[in-house]
Amino acid sequence: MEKNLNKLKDYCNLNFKKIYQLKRRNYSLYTLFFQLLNDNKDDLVRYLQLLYIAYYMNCSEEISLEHFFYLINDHDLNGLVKVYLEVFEIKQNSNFRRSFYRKQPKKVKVPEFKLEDVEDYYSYYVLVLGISEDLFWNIDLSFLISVSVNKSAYDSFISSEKLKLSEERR
Amino acid sequence: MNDITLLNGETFSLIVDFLQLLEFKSTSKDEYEKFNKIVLNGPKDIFDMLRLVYGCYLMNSSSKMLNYNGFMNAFPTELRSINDLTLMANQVINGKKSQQVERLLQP
Repeated sequence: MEKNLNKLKDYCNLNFKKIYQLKRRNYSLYTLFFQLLNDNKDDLVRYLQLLYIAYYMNCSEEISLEHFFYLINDHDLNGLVKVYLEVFEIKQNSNFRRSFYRKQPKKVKVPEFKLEDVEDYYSYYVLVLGISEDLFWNIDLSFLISVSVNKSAYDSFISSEKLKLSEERR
Repeated sequence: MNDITLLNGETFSLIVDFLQLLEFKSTSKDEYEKFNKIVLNGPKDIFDMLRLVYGCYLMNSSSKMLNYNGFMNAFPTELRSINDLTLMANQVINGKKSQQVERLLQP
């Protein structure tokens, strides 16, 4: 069973290159993918739908949701949740990230924003956060998101420290 | 195998089929959300375990006639122990074809 789960994880492995290719291949699935990704609810059906789209991206043939469910029907709910978390979720409880959150004063407010397609992610990750192009297009999604969240925590900390220093000088 | 027969004679299986899960979400949203929460956080007590089994009833029974209270009343008395319900809840979440569950549900 563990072997099957690892196989499924490999088949659902994602990066932005594959997501961008999906935009041309199946636009409705592409928009659904970002809707589900931004939904952020802990929902089994949402997990299954995202895994289906990830599997679809890795599959050269067209595959329906029903067929995907048929293929994974011998997997248990717990195992599928594990695969979902490995493919889509950021590494939780990162000490590195937490140390910067703690020191961040509350008065620096970052506006809330949503990343709704590959272009948004590219603008934010590559142009704003300075993540390399190669990493952006080729590395695993969960790795990339974890790195970007760490980087953004670090940047927020540095800019708030700079602000504090400039206020002290005045 | 792994079928439960209620006191009213209805039979359903303890299997979670993903297409049925999708339909479950669209037809019984409230019950689905309870089921979803228990699967993701783990059952906390005997009622959570029974709620998981009830979710399987709503997914797999052909009639789906019973509400939760009706289901509790119709649940076989010989399967109501904590131990049996733990085995069944584990079967729903982890899907392992436990020999203990098979033995438990054999007629």
